[in-house]
Amino acid sequence: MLGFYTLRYLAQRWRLITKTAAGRRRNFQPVGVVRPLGIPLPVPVVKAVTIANYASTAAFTLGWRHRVTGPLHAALTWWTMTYRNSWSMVFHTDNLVVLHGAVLGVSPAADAVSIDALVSRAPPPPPSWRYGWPLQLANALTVTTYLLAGVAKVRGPLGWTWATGASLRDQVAADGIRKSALVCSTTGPSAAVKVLERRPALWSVLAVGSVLLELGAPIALADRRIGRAWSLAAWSMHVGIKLIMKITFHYQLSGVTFAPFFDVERFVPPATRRAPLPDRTRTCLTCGWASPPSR
Amino acid sequence: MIERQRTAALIGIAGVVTAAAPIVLNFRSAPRDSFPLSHYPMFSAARPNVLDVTHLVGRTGDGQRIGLPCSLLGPGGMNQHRKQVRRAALRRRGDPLVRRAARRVARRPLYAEVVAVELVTCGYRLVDWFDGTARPVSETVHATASVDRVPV
Repeated sequence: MLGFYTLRYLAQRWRLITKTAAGRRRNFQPVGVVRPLGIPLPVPVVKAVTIANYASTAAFTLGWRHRVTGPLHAALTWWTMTYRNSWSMVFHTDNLVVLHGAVLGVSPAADAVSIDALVSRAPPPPPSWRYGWPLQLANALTVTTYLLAGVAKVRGPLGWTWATGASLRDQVAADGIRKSALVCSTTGPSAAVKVLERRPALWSVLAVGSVLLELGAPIALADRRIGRAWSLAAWSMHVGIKLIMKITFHYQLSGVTFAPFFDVERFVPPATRRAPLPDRTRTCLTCGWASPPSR
Repeated sequence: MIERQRTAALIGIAGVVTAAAPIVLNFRSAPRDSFPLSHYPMFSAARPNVLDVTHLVGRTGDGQRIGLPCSLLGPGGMNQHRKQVRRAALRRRGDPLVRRAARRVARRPLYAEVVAVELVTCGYRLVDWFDGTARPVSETVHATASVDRVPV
C-alpha cells in the first residue's frame, strides 16, 4: 500500500520536483540530510536521483529483491522529499511517508505477497514477531508526529488558549487571505467555514477536539480498539482540514497512514499470499521484544 | 533485515526517540524546522488582527488594481513564493522579481490591460475574509516594473 501510494505521489510530482530544483540558488535552504549541501545540485543530477527513486519504489512495491530495493527505496525517498522541502518552505504533509518508508524498507515486508515470495523455493516462514513490529513501529511514529503537533500548539505563543477556537478561526482566515492574495483564489470561505460561522461555538469544539486528539495520540498504542478509534478520529480531522482550509494531507487522507492500526492483511486472498499473517499478539508497542511468546 | 528481537527493540526505541527529539525545538527562542524530523509548528502561530501579506499586483492604465498570481515568478508552490516575495521585500530586492513578473505578464493575453507590476505588502483584516470583503487596509509598494509589450 505504501509503495503504491509513494510511487503515484512522486510520479505526479515529477514536474514540481524538477522545476523546484531549477529554482534560484538564494531560495535553496537545505534541511535534514540535504543540509550538508552548500549549493543546489545540478538539475540533471536531481532528475537522475528522482528516476532512481521511482525505480526503487516500483521494485519495493512489487517486492522484488526487497533486501536491496527496500532500504534503497527508503533512502532515496528520504532524500528526494527532503530535497523538495529544502526550497524556502518545509511542508508537514509528507513526513510520515518518509518515516513509514524507512520502517518498511528495513523490515521483511516482502515475505508474503511479492515477487520475492513467488520465486522463492524456501518454505513459507512461520508467524513471527518480525512481521508485527514494523507495523507497531509505524503506528508509534504516527502517534509521535501527532503528539508533537499538539505540543507545538500549546507550547506556542498562544499556549492553552489555542483550544478556545479563536486561534483556529484566525488560522483559517489567514490561510484564506494568503490564497486570495498570492494565487488570486476567488472562491472565498468554504461551505464548511460558512456553517462554522453560523455556529461560532463549533470553532471551540474543533479546537478542543484537535488538541485532545493530538496530545492524547499515544493512547492509541495502548489498545488496538482504541488505536482504530483514534485513527478514524485523526482521519476525520484531516477531512475537516480539507473541507475548511482546502489543505490536503494526501497521505493521511489516503488512509495508508492508519492502515497499520487495522488488520488489512486479512483482505489479501490466501491464494495470493505465501507467508502467514503478522503475529500481532506477540508484538509490544514499538518493537516486539518484551511481549511473552504465545504458545 | 533485522533478525533478532533485541535489535528490533533497540531500533524501534531509537526510531521513536529520534522522531520525538524535535520536541525540544518548542523550548528554543528561534527554532529551525526540518524534514522529516519536525516539531510540526503548523497552525500554532499567533495571528494578528491585521495580516500583512506581500504579493504582486498589476496596475491598469486607468489606475485599477488587478491581483496577479505569484506563479508569475517561476516554479514553486504558493508557500515558497510567499517566503520568496516576503524575503525580497525585507531585503529591498524586489526589482528583479517584478521585472521578471512583468516580462511574463507581457506575454499573457489575460493581463492585456496591465501596464505595471508592483510588489506590495498589504494589510488585511482577518474578520473581513469571512464575509468576503477582504480588501487591503494598508499598502506599501516595494518595487514597480512597467510591462513592455512588443508590438505585433
